[in-house]
Amino acid sequence: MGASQMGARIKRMEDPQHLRGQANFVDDLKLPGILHAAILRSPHGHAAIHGIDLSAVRAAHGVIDAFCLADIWPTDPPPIPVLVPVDSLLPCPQFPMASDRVRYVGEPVAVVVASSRAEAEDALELAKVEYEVLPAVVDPEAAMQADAQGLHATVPGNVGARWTQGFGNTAAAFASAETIVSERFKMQRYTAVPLETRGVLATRDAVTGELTIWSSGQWPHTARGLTAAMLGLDERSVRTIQPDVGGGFGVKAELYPEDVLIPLAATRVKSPVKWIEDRREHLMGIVHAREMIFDLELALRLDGTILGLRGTIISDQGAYFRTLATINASLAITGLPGPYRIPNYSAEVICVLTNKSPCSPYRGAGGPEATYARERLFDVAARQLGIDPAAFRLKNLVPPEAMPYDTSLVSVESTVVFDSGDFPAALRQALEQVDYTGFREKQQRARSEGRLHGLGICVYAQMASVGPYESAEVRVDGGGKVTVVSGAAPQGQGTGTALAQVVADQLDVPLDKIRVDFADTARIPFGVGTYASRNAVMAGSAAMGAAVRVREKAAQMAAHLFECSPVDIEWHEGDARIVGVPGRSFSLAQLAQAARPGGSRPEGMEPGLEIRHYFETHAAPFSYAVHLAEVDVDPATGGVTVVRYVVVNDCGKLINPMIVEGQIVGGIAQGLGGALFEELVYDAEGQLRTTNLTDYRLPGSLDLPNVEISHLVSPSALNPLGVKGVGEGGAIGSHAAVANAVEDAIAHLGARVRVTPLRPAVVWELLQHGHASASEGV
Amino acid sequence: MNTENAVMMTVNGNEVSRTIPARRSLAEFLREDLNLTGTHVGCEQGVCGACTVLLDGRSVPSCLVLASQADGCAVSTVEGMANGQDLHPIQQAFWQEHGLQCGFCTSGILMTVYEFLLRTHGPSEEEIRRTLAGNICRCTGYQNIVKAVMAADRMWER
Amino acid sequence: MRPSPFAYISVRSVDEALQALADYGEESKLLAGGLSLVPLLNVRQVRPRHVIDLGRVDELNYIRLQDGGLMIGALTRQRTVEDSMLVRDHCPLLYEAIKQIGYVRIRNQGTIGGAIVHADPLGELPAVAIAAGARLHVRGLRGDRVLDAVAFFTGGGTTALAHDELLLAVEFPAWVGSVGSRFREFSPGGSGYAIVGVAAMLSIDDAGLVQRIGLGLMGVADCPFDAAFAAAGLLHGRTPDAAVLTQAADAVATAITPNSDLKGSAAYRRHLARTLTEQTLKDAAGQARPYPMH
Repeated sequence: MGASQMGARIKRMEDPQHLRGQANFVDDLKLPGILHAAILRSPHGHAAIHGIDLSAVRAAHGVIDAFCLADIWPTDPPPIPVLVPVDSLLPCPQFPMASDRVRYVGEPVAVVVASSRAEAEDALELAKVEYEVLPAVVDPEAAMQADAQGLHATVPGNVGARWTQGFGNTAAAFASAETIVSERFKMQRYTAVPLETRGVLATRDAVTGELTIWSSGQWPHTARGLTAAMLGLDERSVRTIQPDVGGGFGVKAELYPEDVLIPLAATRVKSPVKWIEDRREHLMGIVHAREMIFDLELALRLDGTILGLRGTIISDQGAYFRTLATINASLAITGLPGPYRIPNYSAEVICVLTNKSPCSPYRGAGGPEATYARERLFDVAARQLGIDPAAFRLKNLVPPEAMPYDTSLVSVESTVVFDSGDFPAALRQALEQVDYTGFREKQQRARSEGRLHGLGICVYAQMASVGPYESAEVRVDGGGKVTVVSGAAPQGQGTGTALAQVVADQLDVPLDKIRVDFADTARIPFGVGTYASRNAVMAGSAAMGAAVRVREKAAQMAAHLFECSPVDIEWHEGDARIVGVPGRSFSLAQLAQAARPGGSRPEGMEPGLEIRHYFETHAAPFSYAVHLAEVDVDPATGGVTVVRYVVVNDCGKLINPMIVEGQIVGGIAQGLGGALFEELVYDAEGQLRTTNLTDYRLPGSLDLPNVEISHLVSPSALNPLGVKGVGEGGAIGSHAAVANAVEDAIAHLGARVRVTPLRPAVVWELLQHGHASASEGV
Repeated sequence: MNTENAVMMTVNGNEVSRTIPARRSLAEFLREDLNLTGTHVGCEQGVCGACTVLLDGRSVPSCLVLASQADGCAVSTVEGMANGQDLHPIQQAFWQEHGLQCGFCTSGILMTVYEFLLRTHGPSEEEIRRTLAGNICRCTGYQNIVKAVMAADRMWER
Repeated sequence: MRPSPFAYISVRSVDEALQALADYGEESKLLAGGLSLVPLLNVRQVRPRHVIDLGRVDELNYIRLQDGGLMIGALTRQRTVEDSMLVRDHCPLLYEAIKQIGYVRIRNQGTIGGAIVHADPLGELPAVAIAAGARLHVRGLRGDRVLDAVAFFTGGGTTALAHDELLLAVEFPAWVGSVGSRFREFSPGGSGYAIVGVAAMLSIDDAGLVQRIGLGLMGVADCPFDAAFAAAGLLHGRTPDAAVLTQAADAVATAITPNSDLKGSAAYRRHLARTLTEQTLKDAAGQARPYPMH
């Protein structure tokens, strides 16, 4: 048949539909009799609700229904559960709507259903809600003070969870240190802002009672289970489908109030109901992320050897703990040491509640935050010791002979064990690619001419998949066409093409005979979804496992037809034949037909050339990369231009390098945006000031250079494909690399980077004063 | 106060007429009234470029154009780009160069690139990036989009 | 979000437009390209009962030479201005600045009049109008008047235009002598959203002395800002050498009281204004020559 598809840079099968404008995002779906919902949202950051009067709303033109929490659940409303709890977690769940308190601007208070979205919004203006405004808490450190306004009676001091992790003996390490470097770093609140906002369409079948929900999400099976539970329905009565999704990046892996409210509305009005989030709602209510404060200390010998690391992480969690609330904190505290040999480590993470949108994973989920703080700290330490920052890292990176390297840390998602790789080799290769020695000379010359040129280094490792399983069905039909059904739920990653490549290799069929379906609870009963860089490892291995078993079954079928033993079967150009007997063969199509029920099959063989397979594992591979960013800083404006960006990336074997590189570059854009300008800003009353894409600037085509990527391949032994995930990596490395580059450009002038984003105004202030004011409105 | 009015326009060569609420945007008209859902709405403020269509041959932000403003005009959307089964060379170039991931920004970029390449031959990378600066893509980091435009410039005989 | 309900009226002449304004009064809004009004409609920040679409008033779509200067109809699309050789030759400041407005799709739809009436403190066209000494020709039911751009922007998004008046045309009168101009804005990443911008124009007499100065600043006040007064005293009748221009830039920086906001502190904006003013004045002085350019 041809060359192996594994590692091939083939065009994606997903593309033609999108290029023709014939994709199906949730807002593209139309159903007869469809109605539209709008959500009444809190205009206050923190307020008590003393009454909700929807009578004028219900009477408005075009309105079919309007309801608030008390109309549905007068008592015991269902909370959105925390799926990944920690021992210290205190209860502060969100309910589908607010009842007596609102705790962030945009929090849902009521739902209206009307003939059109416009009429629904007209009607909402007639709602009467009696708010008593309460003091808002927007600074996490202020939130922890004794006199701070409390958000939840169940959470004293607004600390919803806190715990310590570490290993070794940091007290001894710091006592014996030859020098100690201490710093505070802050990362700002920002988030994914996919170009497609959220949306939910729901309809309840009048005859069967089955509820069908289409949602722009990332985990349809989980969403189905949670929604069914919260609505008191059997799972088998609820079908969740994820259509085409215009970007997720983690923030659509959540159980949002609307995920429950819209199906509820559809059930009440007995018609399909659609709700599409507008951009303002999105910025207010999508999960936020990244806002952390790191107070760190590094114990060192004067030669740069790290003896110990300790510190405190304050994680601003927003107003509630929802499904994945603990993950950012957990991955930050377990990711802080990174791919370095740090013999003693101790950190405490404190999850603080504030009157802002709840926080949850966004691409990297604690990794970018920890990586930024650590890589910044290492640059500071290197400078303090008079050691080159690259040399400092080479001295302390985990060497290849120590792999697999068990850090002994365990996050809520996996053990942190670096399964394979060569961190120093990757760094050396990257340094060589940029001609590091030459760069330092170039930098000196630039400085003497008053030009500010800097290079930032970042080395990181990322959890590159998460368990506990993924599902796949592979089915060959009587026409020889192959259908793959996967429990994955991609949002543009090209996973269909990647899985087709895997299956094509196992079955030796051409790609155009393979169709891949995802993200529908009716097509496959169990699935996990697409987040945490898991597709290649989990969905890929599941598809491979299913395809391997289909081929085994096909061989058994062929042996049955040939009346020989399966060991005598060989495959030639996709057809089965007896070894050494080229004249007769059976195609997969013929074998599929022969395997139909009612026909003759080997004893005990189930009918059909189809296999459902689950790849089950809790072990997570770790991929890693080195990012080098070169920047120019304009002293007149503080403007930062990233002029060169080099990546040496190792995510094991690559299914489709084009797809991998696209993910890396896309992730880099997001981290660069975080380093330089993206920020969600709240004022003292808890009002979000960045409610449109003018105020929240996203990276554009002039913000990025062409990224140069080279690959190292350290296969993973933890899955049959030898792959490791990579989707999040670009965003993990780039915020740190760019922040380091900016300081490298201006450090000689006494400036220090401790806070991002490094907007031009901020950089200019750094150049004037050596530090910028940490508060916003600078 | 009559908040509806009649509009008539040509869309991808087909004449259409409807009575619509005056407040309906051209984007909404295309998507809801004509079922041409290839044009996407990303921000309602004209910033992201996802909703870009051609109005009398000029790229415009259809989320900021009232459908009524397009009365009597010719509108071109992404659905009109291919020639039946055959993709337009620009579309082929994007496919070849992996110039899309989730696809949500793609139609707006295709319209922008179409207008740009009609006016420009052999653009430099800098010119391409400058032209695309008003189209947000959150997935690709733009690198392959730039390559796709360069490929389209070579592939499209115009 | 969708706009609140309104009625839509399309007019085809200036007279029809004025009549509609009179008929519908204060609860009506004029629609030119829509790029200023529709974003506000889309968040319900404005709620007119009537929207009067000027897009088919063809009589306001023109670019003409008049007495050595330019007359541009208010409904002329920005892209048309950008492509115009008349503009290139007779008002290079406008030609230079207009390319920096947003993106092509914005300039395709936006009009020169719409942008000026919107009076965005971050708008390129109001700053250019101020610097070039533009004159705004308006008509109301009570008759015609001509307003100087420097006095047109009254702060907080308001202008000297009465509600029952329509902007007909923007005139860029010819300047006497050797004329130089420069437009510069600081717009990070080419984002289309400037933090601070400066439009500078000056004319020099045969003796090489500054005769006239125009300076329009973006992003330093709650409206497009006329800064000529701050620089005029230092520049009039002097040779525009580097030292004098630096002094003028310093004076401008002292005269403004910018706000602090998400994009920058007052000190930062003041610094940018100073830097850009100095650069634009120097460039303008360096290029001064009699018009037209080609």
